[in-house]
Amino acid sequence: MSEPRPEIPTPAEDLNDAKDSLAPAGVFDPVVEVYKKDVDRTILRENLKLSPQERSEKFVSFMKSIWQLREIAEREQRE
Amino acid sequence: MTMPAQTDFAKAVNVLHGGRVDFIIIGGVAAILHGLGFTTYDLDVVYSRDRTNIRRLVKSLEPYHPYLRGAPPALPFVLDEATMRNGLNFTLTTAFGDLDLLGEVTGAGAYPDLLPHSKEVLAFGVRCRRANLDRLIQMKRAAGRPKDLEVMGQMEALLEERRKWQHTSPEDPQ
Repeated sequence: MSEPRPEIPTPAEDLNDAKDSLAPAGVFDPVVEVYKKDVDRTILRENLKLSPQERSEKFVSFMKSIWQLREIAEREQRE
Repeated sequence: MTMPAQTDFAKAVNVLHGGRVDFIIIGGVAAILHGLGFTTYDLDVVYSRDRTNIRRLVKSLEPYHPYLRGAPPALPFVLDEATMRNGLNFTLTTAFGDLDLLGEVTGAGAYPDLLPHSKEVLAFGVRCRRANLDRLIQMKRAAGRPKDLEVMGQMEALLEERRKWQHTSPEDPQ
C-alpha cells in the first residue's frame, strides 16, 4: 500500500509561510544601522507634523520642481 | 542618463479611485505618505484579484493606453481582463505616467493579506489605502535588494521618530 502523498503547498501558502517568518520591522540589521545614522531626522520630524494629504501635496510640488529643473537642463544642453 | 517619464501621481490615484478599484499604495509613494522625504518616479499598488475589481481596473485604465514599460513598441499587448487574469504583476506606462500593478508582493502577499496591514487616508484629494510603515519595511527587507538599504535606513529612522511622536503626542501621526 502506498503512503499518502504529502500535501503540496500552493504558491500562495508558501508566500504566507514566508510572510509569517519575516523579521519584524524594527529588527537590528547592522547594514541598515549604518545608513540610518546618516538620515536627516529634522525632515522626518517636520513631515510627521503634516497630514497624509499635505504630504502628498508637498510631494507633487517637489516632483514638479524636479521636472522643471530637468526641462531647463535639457533646454540648455540643446542650445 | 535617461530620466524616467513624468508621472502625474494625483491623476493616477484619482483614476483608480474614480473607477472604484480596490488597491493599496505601497513602495515609495506609500513611504512618502508616511513622512519620508525623497523622490520616486512611479506608483506601485497592490490590487485585488477579484473578478469585479479586475474589470474595474481594466475599464478605468483603458482611456490612458496602458502598455508594458520598457517593451518594444507595437507589441500586440492589450491590458484586458484575460491578460490581467493570466498575469499577476504588470509594470506599465500610461498617459499619466508609470504605474506598477502588483497582484502579489514578496513580504506582503496579495491584496487580502495586505488589507489588515493598511490604512485608509486622505491623500491626493481622495480617500485611498496605503500600506502600514512596518509592512513597507518588511517588504523591502524581504525583497533583499542592495539598492533598498538606504531607503530601509530612512524608513526605520521614520519608525523610530513616529514612536517618539506617539510617546509625546496621543494623536496618531498617520
